[in-house]
Amino acid sequence: MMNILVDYFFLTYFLAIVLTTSVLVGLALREIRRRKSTDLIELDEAVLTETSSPPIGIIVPAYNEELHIVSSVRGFLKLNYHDHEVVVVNDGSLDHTFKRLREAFDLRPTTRFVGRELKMGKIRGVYRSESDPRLWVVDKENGGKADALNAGINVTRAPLVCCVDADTILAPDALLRLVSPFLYEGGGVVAVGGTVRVVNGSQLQEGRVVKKSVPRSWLARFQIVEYLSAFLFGRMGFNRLGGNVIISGAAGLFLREAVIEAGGYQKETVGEDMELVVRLHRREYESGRKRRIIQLPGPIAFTEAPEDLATLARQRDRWHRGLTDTLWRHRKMLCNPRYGRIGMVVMPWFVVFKLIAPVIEIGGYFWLVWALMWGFLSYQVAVVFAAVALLWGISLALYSLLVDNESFNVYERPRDRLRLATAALFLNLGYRQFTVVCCLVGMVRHLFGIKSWGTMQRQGFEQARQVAS
Amino acid sequence: MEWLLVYVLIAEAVLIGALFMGLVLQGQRQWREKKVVRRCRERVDALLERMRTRGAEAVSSDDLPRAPWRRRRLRAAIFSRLFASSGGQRSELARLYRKLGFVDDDYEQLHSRDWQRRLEAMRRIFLLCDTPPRNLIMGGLEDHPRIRLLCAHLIARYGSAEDLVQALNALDLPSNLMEPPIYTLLRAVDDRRLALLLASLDSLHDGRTRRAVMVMAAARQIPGTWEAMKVRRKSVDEQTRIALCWAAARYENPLAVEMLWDLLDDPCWEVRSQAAQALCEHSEPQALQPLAHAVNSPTFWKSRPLALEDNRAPTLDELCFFDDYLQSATSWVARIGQEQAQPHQTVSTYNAGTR
Repeated sequence: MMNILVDYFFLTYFLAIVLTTSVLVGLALREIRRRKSTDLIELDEAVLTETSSPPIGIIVPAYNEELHIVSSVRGFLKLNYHDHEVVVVNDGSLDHTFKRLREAFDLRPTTRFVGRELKMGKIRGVYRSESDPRLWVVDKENGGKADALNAGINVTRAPLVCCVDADTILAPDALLRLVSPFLYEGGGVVAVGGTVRVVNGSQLQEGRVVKKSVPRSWLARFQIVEYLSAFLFGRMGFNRLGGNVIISGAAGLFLREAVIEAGGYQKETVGEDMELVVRLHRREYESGRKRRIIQLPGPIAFTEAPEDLATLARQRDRWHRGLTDTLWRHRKMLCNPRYGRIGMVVMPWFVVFKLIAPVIEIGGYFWLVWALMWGFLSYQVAVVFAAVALLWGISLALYSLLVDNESFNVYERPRDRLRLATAALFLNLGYRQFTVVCCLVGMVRHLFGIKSWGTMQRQGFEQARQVAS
Repeated sequence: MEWLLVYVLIAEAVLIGALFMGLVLQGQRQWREKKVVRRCRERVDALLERMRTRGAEAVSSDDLPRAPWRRRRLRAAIFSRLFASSGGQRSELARLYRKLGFVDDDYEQLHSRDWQRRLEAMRRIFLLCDTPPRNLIMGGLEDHPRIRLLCAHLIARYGSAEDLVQALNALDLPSNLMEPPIYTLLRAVDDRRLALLLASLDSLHDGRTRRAVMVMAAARQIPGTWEAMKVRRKSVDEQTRIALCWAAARYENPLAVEMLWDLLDDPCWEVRSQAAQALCEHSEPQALQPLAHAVNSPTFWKSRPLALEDNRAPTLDELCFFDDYLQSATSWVARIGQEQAQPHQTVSTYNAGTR
């Protein structure tokens, strides 16, 4: 009897995943179409020249980023927008991040007033570039990414802040695309997230992607397909529901005033980006304003994906710890009608299909082996069920490729498309299980109160370009 | 149970096969489309050449391909080039677009039941700088917000002042960040109609629109602006007085500076700060004295109810708003202001105050 119950539990869980994902895919397709048709590109010209368009402060927290920082900052300064400044926050880097910036941009100490609207660590100095006055560099003692972002938000005066990672490459018109919901969306907007793509394998020049192609590394290819499914289906689907709870730390535009009102980024969590977005949602509901948080479908930011298992493991471990921590901190919102669809649909979905999914998936694998060993389950059923689950994953990944090609056509070459389709076939054979184990480890580590970030082994854009060429 | 799973498995296998086939067909289609687009571009070039050599009459809707999908491709080809072009080339392409009769298709599409198709058509009309029938445009003011915005832009180009009032009232502006498109729109309005709009300022429902109209009129020195500003000086609405600061900053007249001096003593802290900022931006030299006086006055810095209790020098937080223009302004007015605020601005002062 017990065996049958367990069998049905796993089957029901799988069916629930299939059902909810199918609904999300349907919603996402409508949302992508709607967003694409309502992007008023023809008014870009006016926004670019209109002096009253809102200034944007790009906040770049940098910790040991000597490989990327100069090319990244050059890319940020070159973005197509009439009024933006770049605030790099050197968060007590142990390498030559600050030295590279000082040499490349001729930094001079300045007396810019630094407000204390958000809590932050001690600042050693504020510098301004002589060669490009739009560049500010804040040199501060190490306090973590959240602390550095808070410092940047304190330093900038722009009403909109674009929080990016130092290894993010933004598309030339990224700011125009991100700012447009603030200009045209009725009902008010608090934050806008951009879709992030993997840059590995692409050719770069001066902090810009000049040719997009698929990398040789299988690990990076798997991540490209994974990012596509996550951004195109997951986030766009929730966007349609009005409840996207993740804006990637790699590219998001926030209303500065709203971030300050919410208390800025939390230092105590490793998932500061998701935590802030959930907190912003919470404040909007509690204050009765219900301004929106929007995710854009088009590719506007590119980031380097880890190409070795150890770095990938650390990244996924951290992401899952961040998710666990955020959901725990805001557990009050869970199944609470006061928080609308966020509380009643999105957060329960995250708990059931994201937070505890690694436990159930690993448990399912163990149960399969156990049941086969003791004869609770016939080999035929076990094999067929495993094949059904595998093929579902493959079809979802292939569908995301189809949608991406149709909507954005990022990878035009047949060879690249074939590589991605092959990656979609093998995504669930080993790679997925590896990331699930990493998530499980992250969950356990969160239970033990571990909050370290771990180091990211990076190749650096210039090297990536050389490899690609 | 087992059989059910087998059926699901077969269905999934078929789905995956279909998706693979879809990817292949999609690739082929996109490759073919590229060729079609190239051919369409060549066709557009040929038509343009004919128009240049034999005049506009040499091109008509008879030159259109028979197949509807080919017509759509040709329209898309012209439109994509129109989008990327400017000046004379754009107007030439727009003329070709009209001669081929695509504009009538767009007008027809404005009646579509799908708002996304209506928006698509309106975007093309917007870019063509066309003058659609009044009833179509006025009807668009009750449509989707994006269509309303584009309609308002079209009315700003060609409509009467009365229609413009109606168009501006149709826009929903819940946030200050939504103002830039209004400024862009007002830039297309000529001085005569802007003066009429200013005269009917009170018929504009939204405070943000009123502010934009007043600021634009002041910047363009429209007759009647000063009178409109003077009437609103004693307004009980803080946002109106803030709008006055913005307008006065752009109004090149000593009287505007006097108004800003006056606003430096406004009971509302935000109005005072905006007045100070406006004085910094103002080109009139006499703005200096009251600004320097204000910086030294402890009452000027009163920003919060708590601060109203005592009589003290500005805190760093209060100085924060002032920093913007002190850093960026290059005029001698701002430089003197900066000297006043300099001691408060250093990083060491900040760190000493870190709690």
